[in-house]
Amino acid sequence: MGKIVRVNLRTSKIIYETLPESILKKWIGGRGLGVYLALKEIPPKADPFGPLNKAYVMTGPLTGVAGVPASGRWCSVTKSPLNNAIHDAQSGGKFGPYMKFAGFDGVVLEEVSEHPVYLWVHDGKVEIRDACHLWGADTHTTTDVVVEELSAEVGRSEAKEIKVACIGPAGENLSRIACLINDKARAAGRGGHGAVWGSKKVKAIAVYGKERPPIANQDKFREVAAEAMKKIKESPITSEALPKYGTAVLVNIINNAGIYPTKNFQTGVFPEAHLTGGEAIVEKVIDWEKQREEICWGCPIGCARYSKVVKPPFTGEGGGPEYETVWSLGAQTYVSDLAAISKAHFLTNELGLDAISAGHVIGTLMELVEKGKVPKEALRGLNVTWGNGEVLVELMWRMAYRSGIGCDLAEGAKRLAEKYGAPELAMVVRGQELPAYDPRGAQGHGLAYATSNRGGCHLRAYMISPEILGVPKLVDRFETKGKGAMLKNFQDVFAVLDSLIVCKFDTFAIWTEEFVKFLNAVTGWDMTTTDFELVGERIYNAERAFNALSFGDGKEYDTLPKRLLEEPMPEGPAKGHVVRLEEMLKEYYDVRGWINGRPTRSKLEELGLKWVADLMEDEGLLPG
Amino acid sequence: MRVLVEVFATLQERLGWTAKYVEINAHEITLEKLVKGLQDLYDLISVDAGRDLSDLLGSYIVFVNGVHAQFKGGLNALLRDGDKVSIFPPVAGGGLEYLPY
Repeated sequence: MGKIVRVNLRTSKIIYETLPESILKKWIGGRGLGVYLALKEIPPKADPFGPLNKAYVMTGPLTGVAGVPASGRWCSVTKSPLNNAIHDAQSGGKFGPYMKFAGFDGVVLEEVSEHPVYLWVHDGKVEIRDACHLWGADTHTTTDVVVEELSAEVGRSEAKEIKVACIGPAGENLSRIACLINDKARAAGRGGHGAVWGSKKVKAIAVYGKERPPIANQDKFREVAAEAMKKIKESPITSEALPKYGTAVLVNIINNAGIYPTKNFQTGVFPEAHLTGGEAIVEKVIDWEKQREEICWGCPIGCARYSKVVKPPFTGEGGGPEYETVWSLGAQTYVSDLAAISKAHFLTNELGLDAISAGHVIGTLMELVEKGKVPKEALRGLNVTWGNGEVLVELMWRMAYRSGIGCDLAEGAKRLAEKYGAPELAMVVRGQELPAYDPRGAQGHGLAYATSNRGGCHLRAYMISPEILGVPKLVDRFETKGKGAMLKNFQDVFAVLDSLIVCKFDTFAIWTEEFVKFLNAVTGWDMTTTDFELVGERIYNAERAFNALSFGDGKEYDTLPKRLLEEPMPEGPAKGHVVRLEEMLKEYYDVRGWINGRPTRSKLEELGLKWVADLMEDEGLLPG
Repeated sequence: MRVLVEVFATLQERLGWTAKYVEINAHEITLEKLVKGLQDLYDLISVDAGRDLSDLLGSYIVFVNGVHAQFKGGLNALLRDGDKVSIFPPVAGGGLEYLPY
């Protein structure tokens, strides 16, 4: 455990390293360990596209451990070119476990290569291979060619055991919303990690190996695995809804609640939402046969989709679409044609674009055009209007290749709206596009957005669960009291899940007690649930500290777009509401032990982060 | 008076309908009475909930005009002409009491 490899892309020097257990116990793996390494190694003010930024490709101690539900995950950690924040992007599929099987818990990309390369990570070693012939290729072609090349070395019968994560044209062209794609349709999506690989000229990483992660205590492991599986099977969400309808089962629920962001958050009700939900996907585009292959490694839930559109003009097939993407490519742009939405989704995967941000930014453009902010000539004849599915698809190409207006879209919603003189139309937090819930009708979720260290995100803390889904217990979504404490707990626990790494859908059925048991059984540690949550708190504080050092993060960034704070929801069940952020922030800061959005020295020292407090003090950033 | 009842996900499959208007000869009706009046829905829900409607709101997400029924009086929520009831099966909700909070 703790085996990482550092690849210096400038010198081609490769260094193998094993991290001490004392570090692993403090940061676990995945996101936590990546954040720790980044804080130690990346100068916070480094140019995200420069040689001083690093890209950490991480697994966690539970990644690839058979019997841990939904543990087929990995993550990327880097300084984001979208918003200069410390940023992790999580992904499912099969790549993560196979990186573990190849013998590594982490691969660190350092400096910048002179020419395109890919890494061949196998059987405990790493080789740098030329990738000039792959530069320009989409993610599917890249994956196929890399597998073809490498299977010639390990044997054709092993081709299916080679897994690839790569970038598409969007990453090569340094789109700030470019993602990493693994297994052709799974994305480490948010924050422009694909562009960081692009800046380093890393086209792909291929993994292969037969090493299986050891389990320290088999008896305890079997016990907790049986207990967890029973709870997952008993949970109606994980056992029935997600396998049957996928994540898009949420579309009708969220739209009914009046918080389904429509036309760039102008309203929370999309009249045609039912045409795009999980039920419609099952009825119209799903391919059940291929869906089986899309399921993440070791997952008993199986929410993945595989879809096919047969009729022109939107012919295509591939993994997805998911809840977030049918929203960003649907309600956000007012497109209700599931064929167009599916096609646009396939393209985000093939071109390597973050599907949330890509759809979101097109919605931003549509509102800018609606408000007369974009000169006609900038659109080169495109009829950019709400609901235009053909334009939606066309803009994906232009965005990935930075053609015309696509060049502005590739910069993300904040820079786009600023360029055209209407920064208030960027629905972003810390420069990252908001996802598929309007927080005016879910106050705690608004606080979660505002305080998310990586910017607008629903997965730092999923307050929709208690506020809308009633899991674990329904709370009043319009109430602000008590949300700060609830949110902190969610953020800390999710930070550890991102470090183990397990899928957050597990939490619909199991919680910290089971995760700690899994971690202890696999590692042989003796961690308590309190220790576990403390790790999460440490990660969250370390991230905030990095951000403070990077761009002065603090209270002024713990906010939301003006529209959500000042413009009451115009219609639907949340009509008349805005996010009452200030009412929640004080409680949140109190439970965090923060002043004005920054951790104090005493909080950092309590978490064993004196060295971080010293760094902040040197820069005059410590509050109080 | 007329109330719109919508069902989603597995309920659509099991019941064979997605939405229906219910005509009621009164000025108002409780949620409980409305559901009991829809025989196929009531049978399905009561079977799922151990033949007792009291579990309905713990297992299903039930909105009255987009607001959780719990905040409208629960099963005693009063429905009036033009109201909409949306019922989501335990596909995305349910009382998992062993979790924190």
